[in-house]
Amino acid sequence: MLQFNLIKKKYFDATILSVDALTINNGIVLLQGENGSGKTTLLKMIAGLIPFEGDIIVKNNFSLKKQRTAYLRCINYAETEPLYPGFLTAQELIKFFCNAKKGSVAETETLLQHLHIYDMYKKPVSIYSSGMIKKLSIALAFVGEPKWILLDEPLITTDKNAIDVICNLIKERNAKAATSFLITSHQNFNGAQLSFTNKLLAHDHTITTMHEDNA
Amino acid sequence: MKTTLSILQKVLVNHFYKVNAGLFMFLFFVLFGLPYNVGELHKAVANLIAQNQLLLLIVLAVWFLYNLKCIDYITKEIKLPQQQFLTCLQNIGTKKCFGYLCFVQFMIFIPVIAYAVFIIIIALKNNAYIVVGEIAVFILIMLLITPIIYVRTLQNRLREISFHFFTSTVRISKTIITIPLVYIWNSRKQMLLIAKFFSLLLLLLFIRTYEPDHYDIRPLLLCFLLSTISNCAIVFEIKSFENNYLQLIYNFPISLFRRFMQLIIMYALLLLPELLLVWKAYPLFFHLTDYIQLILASVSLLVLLHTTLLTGNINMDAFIKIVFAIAMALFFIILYDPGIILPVVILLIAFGFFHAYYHETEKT
Repeated sequence: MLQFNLIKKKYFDATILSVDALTINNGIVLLQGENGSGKTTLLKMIAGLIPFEGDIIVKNNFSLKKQRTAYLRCINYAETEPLYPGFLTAQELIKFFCNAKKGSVAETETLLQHLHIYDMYKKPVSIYSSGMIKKLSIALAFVGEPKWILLDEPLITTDKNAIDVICNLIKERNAKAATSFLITSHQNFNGAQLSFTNKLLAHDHTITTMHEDNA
Repeated sequence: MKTTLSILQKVLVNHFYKVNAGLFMFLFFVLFGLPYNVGELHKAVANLIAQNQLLLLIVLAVWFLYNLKCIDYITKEIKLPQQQFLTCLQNIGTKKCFGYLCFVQFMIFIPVIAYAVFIIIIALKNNAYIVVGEIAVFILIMLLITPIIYVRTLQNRLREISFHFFTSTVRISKTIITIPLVYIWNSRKQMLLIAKFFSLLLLLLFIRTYEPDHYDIRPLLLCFLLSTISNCAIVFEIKSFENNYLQLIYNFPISLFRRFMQLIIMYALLLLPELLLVWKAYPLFFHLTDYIQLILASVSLLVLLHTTLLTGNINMDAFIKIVFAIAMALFFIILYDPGIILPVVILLIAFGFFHAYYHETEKT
Protein backbone atom coordinates (compact mmCIF):
# COMPACT_ATOMS: atom_id res chain seq x y z
CA MET A 1 0.00 0.00 0.00
CA LEU A 2 1.19 3.48 -0.83
CA GLN A 3 -0.11 6.40 1.22
CA PHE A 4 0.25 10.00 0.16
CA ASN A 5 0.03 12.70 2.80
CA LEU A 6 -0.28 16.35 1.77
CA ILE A 7 1.88 15.97 -1.30
CA LYS A 8 2.78 19.09 -3.22
CA LYS A 9 5.27 19.44 -6.04
CA LYS A 10 6.21 22.85 -7.37
CA TYR A 11 8.55 23.96 -10.10
CA PHE A 12 9.42 27.55 -9.34
CA ASP A 13 6.04 28.96 -8.31
CA ALA A 14 3.84 26.71 -10.41
CA THR A 15 2.16 23.78 -8.66
CA ILE A 16 2.61 20.70 -10.83
CA LEU A 17 0.99 18.18 -8.55
CA SER A 18 -0.98 18.38 -5.34
CA VAL A 19 -2.46 15.38 -3.51
CA ASP A 20 -3.93 15.92 -0.07
CA ALA A 21 -4.64 12.30 0.80
CA LEU A 22 -4.58 9.20 -1.35
CA THR A 23 -4.05 5.51 -0.74
CA ILE A 24 -3.09 3.15 -3.53
CA ASN A 25 -3.83 -0.44 -2.63
CA ASN A 26 -1.55 -3.27 -3.62
CA GLY A 27 -2.06 -4.77 -7.04
CA ILE A 28 -1.40 -3.82 -10.61
CA VAL A 29 -2.36 -0.18 -10.97
CA LEU A 30 -2.61 1.87 -14.12
CA LEU A 31 -1.98 5.61 -14.01
CA GLN A 32 -3.33 7.53 -16.96
CA GLY A 33 -3.44 11.17 -17.94
CA GLU A 34 -2.60 13.67 -20.65
CA ASN A 35 0.94 14.77 -21.45
CA GLY A 36 2.17 17.11 -18.72
CA SER A 37 -0.47 15.97 -16.22
CA GLY A 38 2.19 14.92 -13.71
CA LYS A 39 2.39 11.13 -14.16
CA THR A 40 6.19 10.97 -14.45
CA THR A 41 6.57 13.55 -11.69
CA LEU A 42 4.46 11.37 -9.38
CA LEU A 43 6.52 8.27 -10.18
CA LYS A 44 9.78 10.14 -9.61
CA MET A 45 8.45 11.44 -6.29
CA ILE A 46 7.52 7.92 -5.18
CA ALA A 47 10.96 6.68 -6.28
CA GLY A 48 12.63 9.38 -4.17
CA LEU A 49 14.31 10.99 -7.17
CA ILE A 50 12.94 14.49 -6.78
CA PRO A 51 12.17 16.63 -3.73
CA PHE A 52 8.61 17.58 -2.78
CA GLU A 53 6.52 18.74 0.14
CA GLY A 54 4.60 16.14 2.19
CA ASP A 55 5.34 12.47 2.66
CA ILE A 56 4.77 9.05 1.12
CA ILE A 57 4.47 5.90 3.20
CA VAL A 58 4.86 2.35 1.93
CA LYS A 59 3.59 -0.85 3.60
CA ASN A 60 2.03 1.26 6.42
CA ASN A 61 5.53 1.43 7.83
CA PHE A 62 8.24 3.25 6.00
CA SER A 63 8.13 6.95 5.37
CA LEU A 64 10.18 8.38 2.51
CA LYS A 65 11.10 11.38 4.63
CA LYS A 66 11.80 9.57 7.89
CA GLN A 67 13.03 6.08 6.94
CA ARG A 68 14.39 6.75 3.46
CA THR A 69 16.73 3.76 3.22
CA ALA A 70 14.11 1.23 4.33
CA TYR A 71 11.52 2.94 2.12
CA LEU A 72 13.73 2.82 -0.98
CA ARG A 73 14.32 -0.90 -0.45
CA CYS A 74 10.60 -1.30 -1.22
CA ILE A 75 10.53 0.80 -4.40
CA ASN A 76 12.07 0.17 -7.82
CA TYR A 77 11.65 2.42 -10.80
CA ALA A 78 12.10 2.27 -14.58
CA GLU A 79 12.19 5.59 -16.43
CA THR A 80 10.40 6.46 -19.67
CA GLU A 81 13.62 7.29 -21.46
CA PRO A 82 16.39 5.66 -19.46
CA LEU A 83 19.90 7.06 -19.76
CA TYR A 84 22.93 5.10 -18.61
CA PRO A 85 26.64 5.91 -18.88
CA GLY A 86 27.55 4.66 -22.36
CA PHE A 87 30.79 3.00 -21.28
CA LEU A 88 29.04 0.56 -18.91
CA THR A 89 27.93 -2.86 -20.10
CA ALA A 90 24.61 -4.47 -19.20
CA GLN A 91 26.60 -6.94 -17.11
CA GLU A 92 28.21 -4.12 -15.10
CA LEU A 93 24.90 -2.29 -14.67
CA ILE A 94 23.21 -5.45 -13.43
CA LYS A 95 25.99 -6.13 -10.92
CA PHE A 96 25.81 -2.47 -9.86
CA PHE A 97 22.04 -2.63 -9.32
CA CYS A 98 22.11 -6.09 -7.71
CA ASN A 99 24.75 -4.90 -5.28
CA ALA A 100 22.68 -1.88 -4.27
CA LYS A 101 19.28 -3.61 -4.30
CA LYS A 102 20.46 -6.98 -2.96
CA GLY A 103 19.23 -8.78 -6.05
CA SER A 104 20.24 -11.91 -7.90
CA VAL A 105 22.46 -11.47 -10.96
CA ALA A 106 21.40 -14.86 -12.34
CA GLU A 107 17.68 -13.99 -12.15
CA THR A 108 18.25 -10.70 -13.94
CA GLU A 109 20.28 -12.47 -16.62
CA THR A 110 17.33 -14.78 -17.17
CA LEU A 111 15.11 -11.72 -17.58
CA LEU A 112 17.47 -10.41 -20.26
CA GLN A 113 17.23 -13.75 -22.05
CA HIS A 114 13.41 -13.53 -21.98
CA LEU A 115 13.65 -10.02 -23.40
CA HIS A 116 16.09 -11.18 -26.12
CA ILE A 117 18.92 -8.79 -25.26
CA TYR A 118 21.25 -11.24 -23.55
CA ASP A 119 23.47 -11.39 -26.68
CA MET A 120 24.59 -7.85 -25.92
CA TYR A 121 25.17 -8.56 -22.24
CA LYS A 122 28.87 -7.77 -22.30
CA LYS A 123 28.69 -4.88 -24.76
CA PRO A 124 28.65 -1.22 -23.67
CA VAL A 125 25.17 0.29 -23.64
CA SER A 126 26.34 3.08 -25.96
CA ILE A 127 25.75 0.69 -28.87
CA TYR A 128 22.26 -0.37 -27.71
CA SER A 129 19.15 0.79 -29.56
CA SER A 130 16.57 2.78 -27.59
CA GLY A 131 14.35 -0.33 -27.44
CA MET A 132 17.17 -2.42 -25.98
CA ILE A 133 17.95 0.23 -23.36
CA LYS A 134 14.26 0.31 -22.48
CA LYS A 135 14.22 -3.47 -22.02
CA LEU A 136 17.37 -3.29 -19.90
CA SER A 137 15.81 -0.62 -17.68
CA ILE A 138 12.74 -2.80 -17.18
CA ALA A 139 14.94 -5.77 -16.26
CA LEU A 140 16.81 -3.55 -13.76
CA ALA A 141 13.49 -2.49 -12.22
CA PHE A 142 12.86 -6.15 -11.33
CA VAL A 143 16.14 -6.45 -9.39
CA GLY A 144 15.81 -7.38 -5.71
CA GLU A 145 12.63 -7.78 -3.73
CA PRO A 146 10.76 -4.49 -4.00
CA LYS A 147 7.19 -4.19 -2.79
CA TRP A 148 6.36 -1.78 -5.60
CA ILE A 149 7.76 -1.50 -9.11
CA LEU A 150 7.06 1.75 -10.91
CA LEU A 151 7.10 1.47 -14.69
CA ASP A 152 6.91 4.69 -16.65
CA GLU A 153 5.59 3.98 -20.15
CA PRO A 154 7.03 0.44 -20.24
CA LEU A 155 5.61 -0.29 -23.69
CA ILE A 156 7.05 2.56 -25.72
CA THR A 157 9.88 1.66 -28.11
CA THR A 158 9.36 -2.04 -27.36
CA ASP A 159 8.29 -4.59 -29.96
CA LYS A 160 5.11 -6.66 -29.80
CA ASN A 161 6.82 -9.82 -28.54
CA ALA A 162 8.56 -7.88 -25.80
CA ILE A 163 5.24 -6.32 -24.75
CA ASP A 164 3.83 -9.82 -24.19
CA VAL A 165 6.95 -10.85 -22.27
CA ILE A 166 6.79 -7.72 -20.08
CA CYS A 167 3.10 -8.24 -19.34
CA ASN A 168 3.76 -11.88 -18.39
CA LEU A 169 6.66 -10.83 -16.14
CA ILE A 170 4.42 -8.34 -14.38
CA LYS A 171 1.65 -10.90 -13.82
CA GLU A 172 4.13 -13.55 -12.69
CA ARG A 173 5.94 -11.28 -10.20
CA ASN A 174 2.63 -10.00 -8.86
CA ALA A 175 1.31 -13.54 -8.37
CA LYS A 176 4.50 -15.11 -6.93
CA ALA A 177 6.06 -12.33 -4.86
CA ALA A 178 3.00 -10.11 -4.31
CA THR A 179 4.90 -7.25 -5.84
CA SER A 180 2.64 -4.36 -6.77
CA PHE A 181 3.00 -2.32 -9.94
CA LEU A 182 2.22 1.28 -10.76
CA ILE A 183 2.29 1.66 -14.51
CA THR A 184 1.81 4.68 -16.71
CA SER A 185 0.91 4.08 -20.33
CA HIS A 186 -0.57 5.82 -23.31
CA GLN A 187 -1.14 2.49 -24.99
CA ASN A 188 -4.18 0.43 -24.18
CA PHE A 189 -3.57 -3.02 -22.77
CA ASN A 190 -5.98 -5.68 -23.79
CA GLY A 191 -7.48 -7.74 -21.00
CA ALA A 192 -5.56 -10.85 -22.01
CA GLN A 193 -2.24 -9.03 -21.76
CA LEU A 194 -2.77 -7.40 -18.40
CA SER A 195 -5.72 -6.63 -16.18
CA PHE A 196 -5.54 -3.86 -13.64
CA THR A 197 -6.79 -3.96 -10.08
CA ASN A 198 -7.13 -0.20 -9.99
CA LYS A 199 -6.90 2.75 -12.35
CA LEU A 200 -5.79 6.27 -11.44
CA LEU A 201 -6.16 9.49 -13.34
CA ALA A 202 -3.69 12.36 -13.33
CA HIS A 203 -5.70 15.45 -14.10
CA ASP A 204 -5.93 19.06 -12.97
CA HIS A 205 -2.63 18.78 -11.06
CA THR A 206 -3.91 16.00 -8.84
CA ILE A 207 -4.41 12.22 -8.80
CA THR A 208 -7.83 10.62 -8.44
CA THR A 209 -9.17 7.09 -8.60
CA MET A 210 -10.96 6.50 -11.90
CA HIS A 211 -14.55 5.42 -11.73
CA GLU A 212 -15.48 2.30 -13.62
CA ASP A 213 -17.48 4.23 -16.23
CA ASN A 214 -14.44 6.41 -16.97
CA ALA A 215 -11.98 3.56 -16.91
CA MET B 1 28.96 36.19 -42.73
CA LYS B 2 28.75 38.19 -39.51
CA THR B 3 25.77 36.13 -38.39
CA THR B 4 27.62 32.86 -39.00
CA LEU B 5 30.69 34.06 -37.11
CA SER B 6 28.49 35.30 -34.28
CA ILE B 7 26.71 31.93 -34.04
CA LEU B 8 30.01 30.03 -34.07
CA GLN B 9 31.35 32.39 -31.43
CA LYS B 10 28.34 31.79 -29.19
CA VAL B 11 27.90 28.06 -29.78
CA LEU B 12 31.51 26.87 -29.84
CA VAL B 13 33.94 29.55 -28.61
CA ASN B 14 32.08 31.07 -25.66
CA HIS B 15 30.97 27.64 -24.48
CA PHE B 16 34.56 26.38 -24.64
CA TYR B 17 35.72 29.14 -22.28
CA LYS B 18 32.74 28.55 -20.00
CA VAL B 19 33.39 24.83 -19.75
CA ASN B 20 37.10 25.38 -19.13
CA ALA B 21 36.77 28.40 -16.86
CA GLY B 22 38.23 26.37 -13.98
CA LEU B 23 41.39 25.57 -15.92
CA PHE B 24 41.85 29.16 -17.08
CA MET B 25 41.28 30.50 -13.61
CA PHE B 26 43.85 28.11 -12.25
CA LEU B 27 46.35 29.06 -14.98
CA PHE B 28 45.76 32.74 -14.35
CA PHE B 29 46.28 32.18 -10.64
CA VAL B 30 49.53 30.26 -11.22
CA LEU B 31 50.93 32.56 -13.92
CA PHE B 32 49.95 35.93 -12.48
CA GLY B 33 48.98 35.34 -8.88
CA LEU B 34 52.37 34.43 -7.46
CA PRO B 35 53.85 36.83 -4.92
CA TYR B 36 56.75 37.87 -7.17
CA ASN B 37 57.29 40.65 -9.67
CA VAL B 38 55.12 38.99 -12.31
CA GLY B 39 56.44 41.00 -15.30
CA GLU B 40 60.07 40.26 -14.49
CA LEU B 41 59.31 36.61 -13.76
CA HIS B 42 57.66 36.09 -17.16
CA LYS B 43 60.47 37.97 -18.94
CA ALA B 44 62.97 35.67 -17.24
CA VAL B 45 60.94 32.59 -18.22
CA ALA B 46 60.62 33.80 -21.84
CA ASN B 47 64.37 34.48 -21.95
CA LEU B 48 65.04 30.96 -20.74
CA ILE B 49 62.70 29.50 -23.37
CA ALA B 50 64.34 31.60 -26.10
CA GLN B 51 67.77 30.32 -25.14
CA ASN B 52 67.06 26.68 -24.38
CA GLN B 53 65.75 24.34 -27.10
CA LEU B 54 64.74 21.65 -24.60
CA LEU B 55 62.63 24.12 -22.64
CA LEU B 56 61.09 25.34 -25.89
CA LEU B 57 60.23 21.75 -26.78
CA ILE B 58 58.47 21.31 -23.42
CA VAL B 59 56.49 24.52 -23.98
CA LEU B 60 55.48 23.41 -27.49
CA ALA B 61 54.45 20.03 -26.06
CA VAL B 62 52.20 21.77 -23.51
CA TRP B 63 50.65 23.90 -26.27
CA PHE B 64 50.14 20.77 -28.36
CA LEU B 65 48.36 19.16 -25.41
CA TYR B 66 46.13 22.22 -25.19
CA ASN B 67 45.41 21.88 -28.91
CA LEU B 68 44.39 18.24 -28.41
CA LYS B 69 41.97 19.49 -25.79
CA CYS B 70 40.58 22.02 -28.32
CA ILE B 71 40.19 19.30 -30.97
CA ASP B 72 38.50 16.98 -28.52
CA TYR B 73 36.08 19.67 -27.41
CA ILE B 74 35.13 20.97 -30.89
CA THR B 75 34.72 17.54 -32.50
CA LYS B 76 32.55 16.31 -29.62
CA GLU B 77 30.53 19.53 -29.59
CA ILE B 78 29.87 19.40 -33.35
CA LYS B 79 28.50 15.87 -32.95
CA LEU B 80 26.00 16.83 -30.23
CA PRO B 81 22.34 16.54 -31.34
CA GLN B 82 21.65 20.20 -30.48
CA GLN B 83 24.54 21.30 -32.73
CA GLN B 84 23.35 19.29 -35.73
CA PHE B 85 22.26 22.53 -37.38
CA LEU B 86 25.95 23.37 -37.89
CA THR B 87 26.11 20.70 -40.62
CA CYS B 88 24.37 23.27 -42.88
CA LEU B 89 27.82 24.93 -43.08
CA GLN B 90 28.69 22.23 -45.61
CA ASN B 91 26.38 23.94 -48.10
CA ILE B 92 28.61 27.00 -48.40
CA GLY B 93 31.55 25.01 -49.73
CA THR B 94 34.58 23.45 -48.12
CA LYS B 95 36.87 26.49 -48.45
CA LYS B 96 34.44 28.89 -46.78
CA CYS B 97 33.60 26.33 -44.14
CA PHE B 98 37.34 25.94 -43.49
CA GLY B 99 37.60 29.72 -43.14
CA TYR B 100 34.86 29.83 -40.53
CA LEU B 101 36.41 27.00 -38.56
CA CYS B 102 39.82 28.72 -38.76
CA PHE B 103 38.11 31.59 -36.93
CA VAL B 104 36.88 29.16 -34.25
CA GLN B 105 40.34 27.63 -33.87
CA PHE B 106 41.95 31.09 -33.67
CA MET B 107 39.51 32.18 -30.98
CA ILE B 108 40.02 29.16 -28.75
CA PHE B 109 43.77 29.20 -29.34
CA ILE B 110 44.12 32.87 -28.31
CA PRO B 111 45.64 32.12 -24.86
CA VAL B 112 48.50 30.22 -26.56
CA ILE B 113 48.87 32.82 -29.34
CA ALA B 114 49.13 35.65 -26.79
CA TYR B 115 51.90 33.91 -24.85
CA ALA B 116 53.63 32.87 -28.09
CA VAL B 117 53.68 36.51 -29.27
CA PHE B 118 55.20 37.51 -25.93
CA ILE B 119 57.96 34.88 -26.25
CA ILE B 120 58.56 35.89 -29.90
CA ILE B 121 59.09 39.53 -28.86
CA ILE B 122 61.60 38.47 -26.19
CA ALA B 123 63.30 36.11 -28.65
CA LEU B 124 63.58 38.92 -31.23
CA LYS B 125 65.26 41.09 -28.59
CA ASN B 126 67.73 38.25 -28.02
CA ASN B 127 68.23 37.84 -31.79
CA ALA B 128 67.05 34.23 -31.43
CA TYR B 129 65.52 34.12 -34.93
CA ILE B 130 65.45 30.32 -35.11
CA VAL B 131 63.25 30.21 -32.01
CA VAL B 132 60.98 32.88 -33.54
CA GLY B 133 60.67 30.77 -36.67
CA GLU B 134 60.01 27.58 -34.73
CA ILE B 135 57.26 29.16 -32.66
CA ALA B 136 55.68 30.90 -35.67
CA VAL B 137 55.64 27.69 -37.74
CA PHE B 138 54.20 25.70 -34.81
CA ILE B 139 51.39 28.21 -34.26
CA LEU B 140 50.59 28.37 -37.98
CA ILE B 141 50.43 24.59 -38.21
CA MET B 142 48.10 24.44 -35.21
CA LEU B 143 45.89 27.19 -36.68
CA LEU B 144 45.69 25.77 -40.18
CA ILE B 145 45.78 21.99 -39.75
CA THR B 146 43.33 21.72 -36.86
CA PRO B 147 40.36 23.30 -38.72
CA ILE B 148 40.72 20.58 -41.37
CA ILE B 149 39.87 18.05 -38.66
CA TYR B 150 36.81 20.14 -37.72
CA VAL B 151 35.68 20.34 -41.36
CA ARG B 152 36.01 16.59 -41.79
CA THR B 153 34.09 16.01 -38.56
CA LEU B 154 31.35 18.31 -39.82
CA GLN B 155 31.22 16.35 -43.07
CA ASN B 156 31.07 13.10 -41.05
CA ARG B 157 34.19 11.97 -42.84
CA LEU B 158 36.01 11.47 -39.58
CA ARG B 159 34.34 8.80 -37.56
CA GLU B 160 35.67 9.77 -34.20
CA ILE B 161 38.61 11.68 -32.83
CA SER B 162 39.64 9.95 -29.68
CA PHE B 163 42.93 9.90 -27.93
CA HIS B 164 43.85 6.54 -26.56
CA PHE B 165 46.83 7.75 -24.56
CA PHE B 166 46.69 4.75 -22.31
CA THR B 167 44.18 2.25 -23.59
CA SER B 168 42.24 1.24 -20.53
CA THR B 169 42.76 -2.49 -20.44
CA VAL B 170 42.63 -2.57 -16.65
CA ARG B 171 39.28 -3.93 -15.49
CA ILE B 172 37.93 -1.74 -12.73
CA SER B 173 34.95 -2.83 -10.70
CA LYS B 174 32.10 -0.39 -11.40
CA THR B 175 30.70 0.95 -8.16
CA ILE B 176 29.17 4.27 -7.11
CA ILE B 177 32.71 5.31 -6.20
CA THR B 178 34.45 4.31 -9.40
CA ILE B 179 31.82 4.97 -12.10
CA PRO B 180 32.28 8.80 -12.07
CA LEU B 181 36.08 8.36 -12.13
CA VAL B 182 35.86 5.91 -15.03
CA TYR B 183 33.66 8.46 -16.82
CA ILE B 184 36.29 11.16 -16.33
CA TRP B 185 38.99 8.76 -17.56
CA ASN B 186 36.94 7.72 -20.61
CA SER B 187 35.25 10.94 -21.63
CA ARG B 188 37.22 13.79 -20.09
CA LYS B 189 40.71 12.39 -20.49
CA GLN B 190 42.23 15.62 -21.76
CA MET B 191 40.73 17.61 -18.91
CA LEU B 192 42.02 15.05 -16.42
CA LEU B 193 45.52 14.97 -17.91
CA ILE B 194 45.83 18.74 -18.10
CA ALA B 195 44.50 19.23 -14.57
CA LYS B 196 46.87 16.59 -13.23
CA PHE B 197 49.78 17.94 -15.28
CA PHE B 198 49.46 21.43 -13.79
CA SER B 199 48.61 20.16 -10.35
CA LEU B 200 51.64 17.85 -10.20
CA LEU B 201 53.92 20.39 -11.91
CA LEU B 202 53.03 23.03 -9.34
CA LEU B 203 53.69 20.62 -6.50
CA LEU B 204 56.96 19.44 -7.99
CA LEU B 205 58.21 22.97 -8.70
CA PHE B 206 57.42 23.96 -5.13
CA ILE B 207 59.23 20.95 -3.67
CA ARG B 208 62.27 21.51 -5.93
CA THR B 209 62.59 25.28 -5.52
CA TYR B 210 61.40 26.16 -2.02
CA GLU B 211 64.03 25.84 0.71
CA PRO B 212 62.55 26.12 4.18
CA ASP B 213 64.83 27.50 6.90
CA HIS B 214 62.74 25.88 9.63
CA TYR B 215 59.95 23.29 9.81
CA ASP B 216 56.55 24.70 8.94
CA ILE B 217 53.75 22.71 7.28
CA ARG B 218 51.87 25.82 6.11
CA PRO B 219 53.77 26.63 2.86
CA LEU B 220 53.41 23.03 1.66
CA LEU B 221 49.76 22.95 2.77
CA LEU B 222 49.05 26.15 0.81
CA CYS B 223 50.73 24.75 -2.28
CA PHE B 224 48.96 21.42 -1.85
CA LEU B 225 45.54 23.08 -1.60
CA LEU B 226 46.32 25.16 -4.71
CA SER B 227 47.24 21.92 -6.43
CA THR B 228 43.99 20.36 -5.21
CA ILE B 229 41.95 23.29 -6.53
CA SER B 230 43.21 22.62 -10.05
CA ASN B 231 40.90 19.57 -9.89
CA CYS B 232 37.83 21.78 -9.47
CA ALA B 233 36.79 21.45 -13.13
CA ILE B 234 36.77 17.67 -12.63
CA VAL B 235 34.53 18.07 -9.57
CA PHE B 236 32.09 20.06 -11.71
CA GLU B 237 32.17 17.39 -14.44
CA ILE B 238 31.54 14.60 -11.92
CA LYS B 239 28.50 16.43 -10.53
CA SER B 240 27.13 17.07 -14.04
CA PHE B 241 27.66 13.40 -14.89
CA GLU B 242 25.77 12.34 -11.76
CA ASN B 243 22.88 14.65 -12.65
CA ASN B 244 22.71 13.40 -16.23
CA TYR B 245 23.36 9.68 -15.91
CA LEU B 246 23.19 8.54 -12.31
CA GLN B 247 19.85 9.90 -11.13
CA LEU B 248 18.69 6.38 -10.35
CA ILE B 249 21.23 6.07 -7.54
CA TYR B 250 18.90 8.34 -5.56
CA ASN B 251 16.52 5.37 -5.62
CA PHE B 252 19.13 3.04 -4.11
CA PRO B 253 18.59 2.09 -0.45
CA ILE B 254 21.85 3.61 0.79
CA SER B 255 22.04 5.78 3.88
CA LEU B 256 23.11 9.41 3.60
CA PHE B 257 26.21 8.82 5.72
CA ARG B 258 27.35 5.96 3.50
CA ARG B 259 26.81 8.10 0.40
CA PHE B 260 28.95 10.81 2.01
CA MET B 261 31.70 8.30 2.80
CA GLN B 262 31.60 7.11 -0.81
CA LEU B 263 32.12 10.72 -1.90
CA ILE B 264 35.15 11.02 0.38
CA ILE B 265 36.69 7.79 -0.95
CA MET B 266 36.06 8.86 -4.56
CA TYR B 267 37.89 12.17 -4.13
CA ALA B 268 40.72 10.46 -2.20
CA LEU B 269 41.17 8.22 -5.25
CA LEU B 270 41.11 11.24 -7.57
CA LEU B 271 43.84 12.88 -5.50
CA LEU B 272 46.01 9.78 -5.34
CA PRO B 273 48.70 11.14 -7.76
CA GLU B 274 49.14 14.30 -5.67
CA LEU B 275 49.11 12.32 -2.42
CA LEU B 276 51.86 10.05 -3.75
CA LEU B 277 53.97 12.81 -5.32
CA VAL B 278 54.01 14.83 -2.12
CA TRP B 279 56.18 12.09 -0.56
CA LYS B 280 59.05 13.70 -2.47
CA ALA B 281 58.79 16.45 0.12
CA TYR B 282 59.27 14.03 3.03
CA PRO B 283 60.86 14.57 5.56
CA LEU B 284 62.08 18.10 4.81
CA PHE B 285 58.62 19.68 4.32
CA PHE B 286 56.35 17.54 6.44
CA HIS B 287 56.43 15.03 9.26
CA LEU B 288 54.51 11.78 9.17
CA THR B 289 51.82 13.10 11.50
CA ASP B 290 51.19 16.09 9.22
CA TYR B 291 50.57 13.79 6.24
CA ILE B 292 47.13 13.01 7.66
CA GLN B 293 46.43 16.72 7.69
CA LEU B 294 47.47 16.98 4.02
CA ILE B 295 45.19 14.08 3.04
CA LEU B 296 42.22 15.34 5.02
CA ALA B 297 42.62 18.95 3.92
CA SER B 298 42.82 18.16 0.20
CA VAL B 299 40.06 15.54 0.16
CA SER B 300 37.73 17.62 2.35
CA LEU B 301 38.24 20.60 0.05
CA LEU B 302 37.07 18.66 -3.02
CA VAL B 303 34.18 17.17 -1.06
CA LEU B 304 33.19 20.67 0.03
CA LEU B 305 33.32 21.91 -3.58
CA HIS B 306 31.15 18.95 -4.61
CA THR B 307 28.58 19.61 -1.90
CA THR B 308 28.35 23.31 -2.78
CA LEU B 309 27.09 22.12 -6.17
CA LEU B 310 24.18 20.43 -4.37
CA THR B 311 22.87 23.74 -3.08
CA GLY B 312 21.21 24.67 -6.38
CA ASN B 313 21.62 24.72 -10.13
CA ILE B 314 25.08 26.25 -10.08
CA ASN B 315 26.68 26.89 -13.46
CA MET B 316 30.41 26.94 -14.14
CA ASP B 317 30.67 30.73 -13.78
CA ALA B 318 29.09 30.69 -10.33
CA PHE B 319 31.12 27.64 -9.35
CA ILE B 320 34.39 29.36 -10.23
CA LYS B 321 33.43 32.27 -8.00
CA ILE B 322 32.68 29.83 -5.17
CA VAL B 323 36.01 28.06 -5.69
CA PHE B 324 37.85 31.37 -5.69
CA ALA B 325 36.10 32.54 -2.51
CA ILE B 326 36.83 29.26 -0.70
CA ALA B 327 40.48 29.35 -1.85
CA MET B 328 40.91 32.90 -0.58
CA ALA B 329 39.27 32.09 2.76
CA LEU B 330 41.46 28.99 3.20
CA PHE B 331 44.59 30.98 2.34
CA PHE B 332 44.05 33.34 5.28
CA ILE B 333 42.85 30.62 7.66
CA ILE B 334 45.94 28.47 6.98
CA LEU B 335 48.21 31.41 7.83
CA TYR B 336 46.87 31.14 11.40
CA ASP B 337 47.97 27.49 11.48
CA PRO B 338 44.67 25.84 12.52
CA GLY B 339 46.17 22.35 12.21
CA ILE B 340 43.89 19.32 11.92
CA ILE B 341 40.89 21.43 13.01
CA LEU B 342 40.65 23.02 9.55
CA PRO B 343 39.98 19.84 7.51
CA VAL B 344 37.64 18.54 10.22
CA VAL B 345 35.62 21.77 10.07
CA ILE B 346 35.60 21.67 6.25
CA LEU B 347 34.31 18.09 6.35
CA LEU B 348 31.62 19.03 8.87
CA ILE B 349 30.48 21.94 6.68
CA ALA B 350 30.49 19.66 3.64
CA PHE B 351 28.37 17.08 5.50
CA GLY B 352 26.03 19.88 6.57
CA PHE B 353 25.49 20.83 2.91
CA PHE B 354 25.18 17.17 1.95
CA HIS B 355 22.60 16.46 4.64
CA ALA B 356 20.57 19.56 3.85
CA TYR B 357 20.60 19.43 0.06
CA TYR B 358 21.32 15.91 -1.24
CA HIS B 359 17.67 14.88 -1.46
CA GLU B 360 16.24 18.38 -1.59
CA THR B 361 17.67 19.78 -4.81
CA GLU B 362 16.22 19.36 -8.29
CA LYS B 363 18.65 17.45 -10.50
CA THR B 364 18.63 19.31 -13.79
